[in-house]
Order: sequence, then structure tokens, then C-alpha cells
Amino acid sequence: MIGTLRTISAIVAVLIIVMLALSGTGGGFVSGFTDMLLGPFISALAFGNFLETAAKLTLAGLAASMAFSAGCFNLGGEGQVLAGGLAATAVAIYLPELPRGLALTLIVAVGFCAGGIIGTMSGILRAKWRVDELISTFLISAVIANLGYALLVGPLRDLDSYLIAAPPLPSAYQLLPWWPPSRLSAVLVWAVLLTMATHIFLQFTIWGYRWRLRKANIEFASYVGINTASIAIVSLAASGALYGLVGAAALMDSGRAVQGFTNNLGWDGLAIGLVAGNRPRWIPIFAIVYTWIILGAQTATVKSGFSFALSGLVQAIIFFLVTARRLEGKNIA
Amino acid sequence: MLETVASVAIPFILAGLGGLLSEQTGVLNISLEGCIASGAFFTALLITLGVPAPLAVCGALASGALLGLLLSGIHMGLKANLFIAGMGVNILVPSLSGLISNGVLGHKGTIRITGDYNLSPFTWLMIPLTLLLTFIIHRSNFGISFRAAGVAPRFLSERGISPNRVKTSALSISSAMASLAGAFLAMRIEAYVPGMSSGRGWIALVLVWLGFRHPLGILFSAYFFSLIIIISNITLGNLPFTILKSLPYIAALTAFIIANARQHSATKY
Amino acid sequence: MVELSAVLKGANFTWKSSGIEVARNLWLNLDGGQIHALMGENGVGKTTLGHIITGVLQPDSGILQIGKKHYNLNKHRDGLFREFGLVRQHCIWPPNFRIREAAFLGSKPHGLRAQNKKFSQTAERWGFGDINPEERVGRMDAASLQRAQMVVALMMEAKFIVLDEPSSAWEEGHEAEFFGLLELLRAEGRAILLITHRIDDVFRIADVITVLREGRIVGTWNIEEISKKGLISAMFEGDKFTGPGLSIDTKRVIGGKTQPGNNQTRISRESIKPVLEARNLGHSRQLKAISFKVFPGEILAITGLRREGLSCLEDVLTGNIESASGELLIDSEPCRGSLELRRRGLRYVPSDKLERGSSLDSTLAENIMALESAKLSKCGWLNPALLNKHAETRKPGWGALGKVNRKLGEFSGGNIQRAILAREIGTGAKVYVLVDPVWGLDDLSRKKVYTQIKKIRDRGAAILLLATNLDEALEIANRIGVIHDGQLLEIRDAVDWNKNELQRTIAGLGV
Repeated sequence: MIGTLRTISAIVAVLIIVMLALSGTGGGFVSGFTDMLLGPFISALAFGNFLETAAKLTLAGLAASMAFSAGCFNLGGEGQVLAGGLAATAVAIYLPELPRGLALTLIVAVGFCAGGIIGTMSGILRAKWRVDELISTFLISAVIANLGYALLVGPLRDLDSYLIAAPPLPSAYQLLPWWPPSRLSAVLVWAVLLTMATHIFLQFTIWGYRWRLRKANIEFASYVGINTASIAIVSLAASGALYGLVGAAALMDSGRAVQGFTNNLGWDGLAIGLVAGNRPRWIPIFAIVYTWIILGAQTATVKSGFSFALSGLVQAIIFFLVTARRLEGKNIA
Repeated sequence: MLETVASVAIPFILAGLGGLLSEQTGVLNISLEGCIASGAFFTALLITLGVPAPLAVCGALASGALLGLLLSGIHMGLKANLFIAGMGVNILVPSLSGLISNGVLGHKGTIRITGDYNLSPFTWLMIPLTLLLTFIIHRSNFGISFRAAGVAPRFLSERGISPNRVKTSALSISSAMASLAGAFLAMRIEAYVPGMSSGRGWIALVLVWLGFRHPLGILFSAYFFSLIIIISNITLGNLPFTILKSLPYIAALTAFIIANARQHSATKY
Repeated sequence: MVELSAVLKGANFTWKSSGIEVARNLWLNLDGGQIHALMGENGVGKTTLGHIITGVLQPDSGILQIGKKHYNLNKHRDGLFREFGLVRQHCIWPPNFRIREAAFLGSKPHGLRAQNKKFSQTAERWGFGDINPEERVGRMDAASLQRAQMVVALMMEAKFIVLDEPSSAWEEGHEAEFFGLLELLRAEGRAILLITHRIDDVFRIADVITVLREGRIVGTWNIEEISKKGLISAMFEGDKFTGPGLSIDTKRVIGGKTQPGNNQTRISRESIKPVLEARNLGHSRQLKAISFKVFPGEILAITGLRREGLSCLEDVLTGNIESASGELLIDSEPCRGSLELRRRGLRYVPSDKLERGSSLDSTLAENIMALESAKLSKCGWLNPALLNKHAETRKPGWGALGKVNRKLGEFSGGNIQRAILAREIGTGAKVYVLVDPVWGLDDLSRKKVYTQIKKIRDRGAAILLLATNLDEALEIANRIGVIHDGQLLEIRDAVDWNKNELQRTIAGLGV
């Protein structure tokens, strides 16, 4: 299967790096590794949070994979997540007294649309002027990230808080935790449903078929009369919209838009989406593994008093390896 | 004022010239941003550890060159997508430097260095450096093979020179120059702050196009850009700093769109 | 003086991307003091051979022996051999370089002044004093660039000089100079490989002739051993005719005239409206104001060499590139872009079977349904079982095809072509552009395909056949036109052409 070898080598490389990092923490290699493996299961709280994070990462992975499935790349996840979260925050601030059902719907919808609009911009640039979406999504996202920060310190800032943060969401605007004190919530259901929906869309609808053809061979797709430009717009819009949804979920998760609440979800999603490649239905599994490694390593390093952000390393390795054509074992001319 | 402009421009010029070198060989160095951060980090780290400043800068240069080698190995050796691999470097550097800083210094935040470095001699050194690079690119056999690697790799290999080797050296020199820019930044503010390159790598790529892919063009557009930064710092002082920080990306996007439109008018026949 | 010789032994070459074998078991012997002509039609691998022997192209196997040294060519990665000079037909020097920069890339001396001096000295000595080393490559015409490459070859003191189609770019005003130069070089004891398709030049100057056909050596003769007529028949006729991977028995050609098949009757076209019409289509130097009409119930074949305009014509006709001038009409209404052409019902078998014509990472069923996906879906839903059934119904008529849910990339070239034909042909369309429709097929399947094409023609479809294979055009077309140097030379009824005339017209030897 195409890309299997790349996926495997990426995962192996990630595990090696994680082990190296853990063995360097001073707590001893074996105990460090055990801590990592058991990390998510040490308590109900840890397990609930593990599932919640995996669900969010599944959504982020699906978002990235929306673009891949049509042969596009969306490197703008960070900005789109932020935009989704901040747009939802604005709704909560300016319409604080809505009934619960409407409020939740509105927050999700606004986050979805905010991300979608940003994705669409890159799609249009791609369709009209063939600007490489790899570049445009990233640069637009960088702009959004800075503007979003400006909003957070400016108009949206909660002046009563010592944090750089917007006011907390009214409780009617938050998802009910299913398993307090962990944050596990309905996001888990969203993740499962959206994974299934994506799979059905790609495999059993004519639009999914066209997306897949565009990804498989863009020249062939336009040769048989498929409008590849409009697919680029729609798929980047969908990708951005899902990232926006992730932003809304992250917002409801943390209760307020505080500086850094997007927590690297854009890059995490991209890494998971890249690893899943042609198999979006596997995203939940990759998301669980990824979450396990990251959260487990966090537990292990905290325990040994040596904390560091592992996700950057893991992402970098994934980015290095998953697009490597040489690893496919094909003869490259 | 003139001196201030010239001094603000130094990192842009160094990274921009580095970007030009890689662009000439047909592999745009997306990782300039990460290399600037790496240069700044290693300069600060080594100085803190008691290494004399000149040696620390050499260490920073080496870190850049290694990152360039890493990127070219992944892009040319493993045939990975250049942009995604370059973004990998940009993500790797902050994470790795956090790890190293944590291991060596016990914390992963700002690293302060004190030493009162006199950097003013370097301010105007950029002009002869640019002239030298112009000469190298346009006159020396070295530079000519750089240019050929981008536009006519087959011609280059016909003459017994491996295009991939040329591209590899271009990427490492380019990354080393960007890390030199980072070293300069760290010594100027006498600290390493995570995220301190704040888009300078992307501006450097914009300067490559703004300067019509010529060293002198890059020099002048870097001065021009610095002038704008200084003026806007003075006049737009109450505009949030973060909005200013998004300007490089807007400029980069515009430059990419224009460069793309121009490139696209050429066709197959 | 040591006898100068280079021997190429047993070189094979396959394009890695497509797996198509370009050259098989090539042998060539170059001796000092001789002009060796390498002849053959375009596209038979002359340039490939020239590049292999100079070391710029790596074959899959082969040995080059220069004097007493042996080189394993499949391991040679250092580019041009020191002993060789190569004058390419299409110069690959970068357009924004100065002549001097290109000339001295990777070699000595270094200084600007020293380089200019060395270049000018060589240039003047050999009569190229008019070339300015500071001129930009992009501002020079093809002839001057060949002359400049020649100066470089001489400057590097190449013992063996390979000239790829030199006179085509070198003729005007410089012909005598060119032949004088060749004679001088020969007198000096150098070896020259002259790649050309111009028969008169060869008989004027060459000592030895090697003929290449279908990527193989037909034979090597001393000039006195072979007549012009013999040479022509070695190049063109023989008992097989070339096409990419094809060899069609040409015994049907009797007395230089094709036996008209019963389907090649002349059609009166006054009262009918054309289905497909090209009006003054032009694109840079590749296409020059091409006009033709294709009527319902006929096959119009246009033949010629791909790079003389056939390839560009295909791209313009199918909307892959936009024509610089002129327009394309279907049913008398202008039509542009591949999406619109497809909407208007164009069926198109492309020359690029593997990239454009099929999606190798998709299944056979997905490839076959590509044009009818909208029809096969219900409110946007696709039922995979139904799709597989649809693909099964398309299989008959095109010979063996494998399982419909396998990736197309796992199939052989012939079956890939069958999948393309199953998708494009025979669903009631009325306008077709077919390029090499029997690519990769065996004799039996080929006959079947021709029968199918005739059948849809008889049902009233208008078919444009872009053929590199003359026998194909002569067998199934009603009218045949020839494209040469970007111009559509002449369209005649097929019965008024014979193969010999077609060959001469394609080669630009006049109608």
C-alpha cells in the first residue's frame, strides 16, 4: 500500500526519539518508558482527559485530511483553530444571554464558518492564480495568529483577569463534562460521527470520488472533465471549517480563550493527517497513539522533574519522513 | 538615523542573501526562520557557558550549516516535500532548543547574556559583503555553477558537477547565513528570547523577490524595509505590536502571489 | 600518432518513468580521421545514442572503450567524457547566462580576462570570430548557439565531436563554412559523429554511415558501399514500420499504393456541416494557423512528428493549453478549455496514456466510470457494487481486462490502453480525438480496435486521428493531412496518398 512504509518509518523514528528523550531525563529508561505507557491510565481523570484530547486531535486530523483527500495541503491549521475559537468567544461576549441550545449551536456554527472562510481564501488563491496552497495557508495563518493575539489583548480581553484572556464563557455556553473532574465531553461523539461522515463522503458519494481522483492524478482529473479548481476551494474551505470547529471545541474545553488555548492543535492535526495519508478512517487510531505518546511522555517527564515540549520534536520527525518518496521503496528516476 | 536603519537591516541582509543563494540553485530555503532562531539560541547558550563570543558565533554558524544539511538530506536524499520538510526544521528548532536549554541550563526561557558587544563595525560591513557576494555569484565559477543548478541541472551534470551537491552546499551556506543573522540579533539585544526571530526568515524570502534576486537589490530592499519598520515604530507606536508582526507575512504572501503570477505566464511550448 | 578510436558496445536504454525501451544493443565504432554519419527517422534514438556515447546519458548497460580505456557506462556519473565534445541540436545552456559563463562552467581558466582570451583565440582560429563571449545565451539564435557549442568542443580539445542535427540550424550562409570545418577536423585526425536525417549532406561529406531504426542499428556501411536509394530504404522501409512499440506488417502496400479498403470511399462533403472545426489555430512556433474540418461519418488523420507540431496540436485541440490565436468549434459553436470540451461531448484518447489518460492509483472501475460518474450516481450517492457492474459491462469488445477493483497501476500497458478505450469509445458520442489508439496492443486487439473505430464512424461520429503511425492512418482514415514545422501541409483523400509520399512529406522533402 502506498505510503505504508513511510508511515511505519515515521512512527518508528518517533518512538526512538521519544525513548532517547526519556532515557535522557535521568529517571532511568525503563521506568521512564513504563511511566509513559501507563501515563494515561493512572487515574480516571487522566484517562478522561486522554480521551478528550484524542477526540480533539481526531477532529484536527480530519481537518488536515479534508485537504489531503483532494490533493491539497492545509498548513494553516493554527490560524484557523484560533479564528474559530475567537469567533466563538466573540459570540459569547456579545450575545451572553441566549438559551443553551441556541448558544451551543451558534458557537459551533460560528467557529466552523470562521475557519472555513480562512480556508476558502487559500482555495480561491489556488483556483484563480494557482498560488501554492502550502504557502498561502501558512502565511495567512501566521497573519491570523498575530491579529488574533491582538484581539485577545485588545477588544476581547477580560480586564478583571491577570491572564491574557477573554472573559470565561457563561456556563450555558459550555459543554457538560460527562465524567467530572475529567474534561471528557460530547466532543468524543463529534469525533466518531465526523470520522464516519468523512469516510462515507469520500467513498460513497460522487463528490468524494472526484476529490479522490484529483488527489490520485490531477492531470487525469481535469482531463476527464472534473473541475479541479473548484474542488481545491471546497476542500480547503472544508479543511479550514473543521479546524474552526476544533477551535470552538478547544474554547469550550478550556472555558475561555486564554493565550495559547489552541495549544498547537493545528500542527498536531497536520501531523496526524499526514500519517494517516490515504486512510482518513484510521485517523482516530493515529490520534489515540499520538495522544498517548505526547501525554504519556508528559507524565513521565513531569514525574522525573524534567518537563519539555515533546510535540515539536515528534511533529518535526513526522514532517521529515511522511512525504519522503524515497521511503516508498519505489525506483525513483 | 542612517546608522539605525543600517543596523536594523543587518539580519535581513544576512538572511536575505542566504535565501538568495538557495533560491538561485532552485531550492528555496523555507527554514530560514528556524535557522535564525537556532543561531540566536546557540550564540546565547555558548556565551552563557563561557565560550568567547567569536567562537560562540562560529558555533551558531555550524548549527545553521547542520540544519541546512539536514534539510537537503531530507529533501534531496529522501525526496521529501521541500516546504513540509522546511516547516519541520522551523518546528524542530524551538522544540530542540527548549530541550537543550532545559538540559544544560535547567530552564527553557530567556537566556540573558552580558558582554557589551560592539557591533557597530558590522553595520557597514554589509555593503562590502554584498558586493563580495555579487562577485561570487556572477563572476566566480562557484557562483556560476550555483546559478546553473537552478535553471539547467542537466547542463551542470554534463560538465561533471553534481547538481545535488551544489544544492546541498547552497542550502547549508544559506542556513548558516541565516543563523549568523540570529547570532547578530542575540548579541544586539544581549539575550535569547524564544520566538525572537518573529518572521524575519519570511521577510528575508520576500526580500529575495523584492530585490529582483540580485544581492544589491536585496541590500537596498532590506534598507528600505528597515526604514519602514523604524518609521512605523515611531508613527504607529500605539498600534498593537502584534499587528506589526503580521506585516511580514502579508508582505510574503503578496510577494508569493506576484512571483507566481509572473512565473505562470510562461507556458510549455 | 596513436590511432584514435572509440567503440561503444552493447548499450541498452530504457526510460525509467515509462519502462519504454528506447535503444537496444547499440554498437558504434568511431575512428580518427573519419566522419561517421548516424542516420534514421526522427524519434528512432539517434540523439539518445549520441548522448550515451558522450557520457551525458546513462544507459542501463553498455561499455565504452576509448583507446585502451574501458568505461562501464551504467556506472559513469561524471557527465561528458573529456575526449568528447557535444554540439546539441537544442542547446541546454541557461538563457540568462553569458556565452563565456556557459563555456567555462566547471573548467579552467578562472579569470574573466583569461577566459575571454582563450575563447576568442579558439573562435578566431576556427572561423567563429563573430561570436561574442559576453553575449547572453537567450539572445542568440539556434545556429549561433550551435557554433558557440562547437567553439567549446574545440576549446576543450575534444578528440571526438558529436554534432546533433547541425545543418538544420546552421545552413543559411554558413553551409560551405560548415563543410569546410568538418573537412579540416577530419584532416586533423579527429573523429566526428554527424547525427542527421539529411541524405544529401551525408553523401557530400561522410565516410561511414550507420542507420538506426526503432532504437536498433540496422547496419553500418562505408559510403561507397551504399547508394542513396539503399540508404532511404534502410531508413524508412524494410519489412516493418516504426511506431512507438508498434510494428505493422506492411505487405498490404503493393506497388507504392495502398489498396483502398472498402471503407475508404470518397465522401462528398458539400452539404454537411462539420462537427469539429479548427480555424487558424496558432501557438508560438509550434503551430502556424492550422485550419481543418471534421465531418460526421469520417475519420480525418493528421500525421507527422510529435515535436514538429503534432504534440502541440493535441494539447491545443483538447484544451490543455490555450491557443495563441484562432478558435476551435464544435457544431459551429466556439469552445475553449478542457472542461467545456468535455461538457460538449468530446471523447479523447491522449498520447500520454499513463499520466493524462489514466489514474494508476485508482481502480479499474474508477477509471472506466470517470466520464459517467454523474449518470451513475443517485442524488450524489455512488454504489460501489453498481460501479463494478458498470465497469464489467464495458469490458467486452476490448479483449482481456482484469478485476475491476484492482489498481490500474498493477495492469500491463496494453490493459491500461484497453481501459482508456473502454472509457472513451462507444458511448454514443459524436466527436472524437484519438491519439495512437492502439498503443501497446497486440495484433489481434489492434484489429478489434480498428473495427470498433470504423463502427462508431459509420454510426456518424466525427473522428480526428492524430497518428504517428502511417499505416494506421492509411488503414482507417478517410482523409489524411500532414503536419510539418507547425504547418498543416496538405489534406487529401486517403486513397490519393501512398506511404512513400507521406514519408517524404513528413520529413519535409516536399509534397
